[in-house]
Amino acid sequence: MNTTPAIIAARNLTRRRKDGSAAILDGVDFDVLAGDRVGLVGQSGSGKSSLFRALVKLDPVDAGDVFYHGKIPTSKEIPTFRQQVIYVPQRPSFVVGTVRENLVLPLRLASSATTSADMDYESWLDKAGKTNALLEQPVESLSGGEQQIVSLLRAIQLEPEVLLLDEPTASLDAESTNAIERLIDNWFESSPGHAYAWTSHDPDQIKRRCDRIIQLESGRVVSVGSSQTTAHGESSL
Amino acid sequence: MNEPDFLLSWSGVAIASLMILVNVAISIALRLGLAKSILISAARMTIQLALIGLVLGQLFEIGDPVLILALAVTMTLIAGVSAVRRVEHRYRGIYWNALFSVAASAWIVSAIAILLVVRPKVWYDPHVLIPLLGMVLGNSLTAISLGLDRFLEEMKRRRGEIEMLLTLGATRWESCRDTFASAARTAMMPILNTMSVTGLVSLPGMMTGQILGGALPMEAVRYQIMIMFLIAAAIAMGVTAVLGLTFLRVTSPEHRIRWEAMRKT
Repeated sequence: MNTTPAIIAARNLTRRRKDGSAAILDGVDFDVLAGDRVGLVGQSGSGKSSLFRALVKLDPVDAGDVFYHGKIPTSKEIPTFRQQVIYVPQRPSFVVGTVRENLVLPLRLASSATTSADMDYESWLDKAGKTNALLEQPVESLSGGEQQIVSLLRAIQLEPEVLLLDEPTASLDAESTNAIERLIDNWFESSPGHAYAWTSHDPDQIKRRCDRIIQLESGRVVSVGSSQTTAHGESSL
Repeated sequence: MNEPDFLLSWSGVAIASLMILVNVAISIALRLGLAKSILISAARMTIQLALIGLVLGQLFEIGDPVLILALAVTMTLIAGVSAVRRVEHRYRGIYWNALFSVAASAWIVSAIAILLVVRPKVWYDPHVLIPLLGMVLGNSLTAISLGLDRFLEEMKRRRGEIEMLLTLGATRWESCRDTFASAARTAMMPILNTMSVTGLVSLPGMMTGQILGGALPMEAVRYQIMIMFLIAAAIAMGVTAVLGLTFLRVTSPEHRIRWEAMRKT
């Protein structure tokens, strides 16, 4: 590790479509520093999810690199890297089973051998306004908000440095949205080294939750600003 | 071998072939639209078997190892291609992987059977090599085809789950292990079922043929037991090989699934 302050730094990330039409990602530079709260805005198809997927190397890129603490993770390091920079997709996936079975799933992975994750699920559920009865429920029976809560807890217990949150509260009611925001705040504030990037279609939420806002359009970064400047209309949110 | 006091003649075969009309009648009555393919399949089967009968007859007479090997290689190539035919999702190189898996498993198992078990005077004795290889290839290709189809299909279906595991730090193997196991189970299930009911419900084709041809039941049984073990071993090897190669092809060392490499036919 070197002294680069960025936890993740993407340089010139480019992903073209197979048919050669407009690029999905077009030379994107993107940094997440410790303590960062980055908002990522843009219309559907502007490349927000694609950027997150490329950052954690779920999708291939045609050009560009992603540095983690100044270094490109080797193939072998990628699973551990993905536990430090966790992509939380808009629609969470589960295996058939109870909430608890899904929560402990990542703890059985080889790359988790080094994490001492021994999470007090009960107190975290309490923060989200849920009781630990939820733990024994089958995941199929959960509401959208509960699914998102479980998906977040599953990620947070691994003690990541960065969460890449893809529309974490899309189509959720106010109560679930609050619960999820509380969970994320609790995790974020538990260490000065934590950071998140957040995509949302709700400009108010982004202004409220993020210090820095990046706008994507057709796979390109078209504006970078603070939520302060954008709040004054200098950026088109 | 006892000479049976009956002999199946071509006119006998012709009478048996009329039974295909039952299939055709049912297809027409229920409008299944299968009449044409039933007749084509029946014709293909008859012609293919008649041809192989002629070829084998010649081959047994000549006994040239080069010709025998050429036939064995041809059978293997056809098995490799056929293994992919009904697989819905494909990737580049699927034919090579299927061919390699069919060939390696069937040839290794047949070699062991010929050299250590049956031990004919010459290893290329076509009376042994061709039927053995044929039985093993036929079963192996079905299992490989089932396993391949299931694996690729399940990968697509479980995409969310697989990617979820990857984002939480799973290696590519950890993310696909369940899918791999489920495909291997699917591929091996038929032979396991067959093994457990053989002799109770069904008398296998090879054994039936031998008994009808005048062999002593115990002798036929010995061959049948041997062939079952060979088939089971070939299936296990072939399925593991083809799934392993497919796994390497549709995932990348960066612990990513190469969805772009898979396409539907």
